[in-house]
Amino acid sequence: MISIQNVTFGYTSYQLVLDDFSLDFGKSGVYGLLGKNGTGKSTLLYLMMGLLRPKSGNVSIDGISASLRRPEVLSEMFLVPEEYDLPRVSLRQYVKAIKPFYPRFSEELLEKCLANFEMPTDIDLGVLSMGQKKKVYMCIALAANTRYLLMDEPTNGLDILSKSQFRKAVIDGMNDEKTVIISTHQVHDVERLLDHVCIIERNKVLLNEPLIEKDQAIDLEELFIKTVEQRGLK
Amino acid sequence: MKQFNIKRFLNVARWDLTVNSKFYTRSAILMMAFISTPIVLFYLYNMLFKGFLLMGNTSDNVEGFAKTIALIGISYSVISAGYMFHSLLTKQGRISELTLPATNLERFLWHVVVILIGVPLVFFCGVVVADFLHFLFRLMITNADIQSLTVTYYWDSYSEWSTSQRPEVNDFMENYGYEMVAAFYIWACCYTRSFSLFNAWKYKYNIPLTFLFYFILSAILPLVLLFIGTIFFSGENVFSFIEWLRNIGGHAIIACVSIIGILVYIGIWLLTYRLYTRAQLTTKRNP
Repeated sequence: MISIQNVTFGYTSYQLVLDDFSLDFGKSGVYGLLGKNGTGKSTLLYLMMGLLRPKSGNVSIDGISASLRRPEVLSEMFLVPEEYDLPRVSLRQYVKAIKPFYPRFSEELLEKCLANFEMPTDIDLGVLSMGQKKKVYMCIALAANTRYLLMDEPTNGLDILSKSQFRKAVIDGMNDEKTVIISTHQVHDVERLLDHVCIIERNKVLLNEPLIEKDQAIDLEELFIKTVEQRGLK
Repeated sequence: MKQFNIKRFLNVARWDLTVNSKFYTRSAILMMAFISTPIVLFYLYNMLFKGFLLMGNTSDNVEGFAKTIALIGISYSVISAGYMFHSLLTKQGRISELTLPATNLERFLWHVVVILIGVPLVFFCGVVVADFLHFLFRLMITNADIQSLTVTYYWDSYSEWSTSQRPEVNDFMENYGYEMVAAFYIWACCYTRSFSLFNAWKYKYNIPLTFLFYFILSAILPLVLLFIGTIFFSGENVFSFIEWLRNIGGHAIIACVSIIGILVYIGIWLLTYRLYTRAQLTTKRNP
C-alpha cells in the first residue's frame, strides 16, 4: 500500500506544490492520476519513489518511509519518467545489468511486450528514437514485475498505433498484486485502462473513485471537467 | 536492514559499468591521449625539424616528460575527483541511480572504488602507454640507450636525494623529510577529496566552484590568522609563542599538522557521504 499522509512539498520555500496533501493507493489495479498543470502529479510520483523528500508529512510504501530509499522497497517499485535517455548499450547488456535488482524480472514478459510494440529484442538502445526508447523502457518496467509501477505521461511521444499497443502491454503485464499509477494529461489514451481515477489539486483530492462501469466507454475528459467545475476550480 | 551486501554491491558495480560504459571508456582514452601527447609531439617535432641524431640520450628528455606526466596526473586526480558523482549530473541520471534497489552505502562505496582504484589504474595504464610510445620512438632512432621514462625518472630522483652532497639537505631529510612528505601527502589528499565533496554538494560547475572556494580561502585565511595573531599575541607574547613552538619541537608540530590533516580527510569523506545520502531529484542547488 502506498500512503501519502499530510505531505507538504515545494521546490522553493515560498511556492508549495503540495500542501497538507493526503492520498492512499490501497487496492491493486490501474490508477489514473489526473490534474491540471502544476498540481503536482509528477512530484507525487517522485515523492513515492523517494526521489524527493517532503517538507512535512510522510510517504510510505508498505509501511516503510519512501525517503529512506531502502533496497527492499525500491526492488518493488519502478518509475517510467516522462523523458528517459537509455544508455548506449545493447538491450541484452542493459537487461543483464538491471535484472539482479528485481527478483521477479521476467524475460518472457519483456519479449512479449517488445513483440507487442513490434520491436526486436536484439537492439542497440543508443540508436533508438525517443518514442522507441519509451516503448523499450516501458517494456523493461513491466518485465521488472514490481508490485508498484509508476508512469509519468507514458503516452506522450507515442504514435496512435503505439498508444493502442501500450494499453495492450499494460493489460498483459498486469496481475492481481500489481498497482500501476499513471499520471497523464492524455486522458483518452488511458480511459479504457483505468480501474480507478484520482483527480488531484494542490492540497486536496477532488475525486478518488473506482471506475466500475469499465465495460462501457467512460469519458474521462468529461468527468475531469465536471469534477473541476463542481469544485469551482476551473 | 543490512547496509552492505557484497552481492548487491557487485550488482551496482556491474550496473554502473554497463550504464556508464561510454563515459568511462571515453575518459580513459582521453587520459591516455593526454599523457602520450607530449611524447608524440616531442618526437614528431624532432623527427620533422631537427633530425634524429641531435636528440641526445634518453636521460636528456626523461625529466621533462616525467614532470609533464606528473602534472597531468595531478590535474587528472583533481578533475576525476570533481566528477566522482558524474552520474548525478542529469535529472535522468539521478532517477536511474537513486531508484536503483541498493543502499546508499553500496552505491557510495562503488563511487569510492572508482575514484580510489579505477582512476589511479587508468593513470598507471596511461603511463605504460606513454612509456611504450617512448620506447617505440627511441627504437626508431637507436636500439641502444632505451630506458623507461618513469623508472629512469624515479631512479634518478632517488639517487639524487640519497647521494646528495649538500649537508643541509641531508640533515633536513634525516630529521623531518619523511614526516614532511607524509604531512604534505595527507593535505594533498584533503585538497583532492574536497573536489569530491563539492561534487556531492553541487553536480554542475562544481570544479570551478571548488577553485573559487580555494581562491577566497587563500585571500581570507591570512587575514583571519593576522586577526587572531593581533588578538592573542602582542609584544612579548610573540616571542613566548615562538619559544613555545621551539620547545614543542619540529616533530610534534609536523605530527599535529598530519593528525589535523587526517581528521579533515575523514571529515571530508563523512560529509561527502552525508550529502550523497541526502541527494534528491531536484533542489535549488541542483535544478
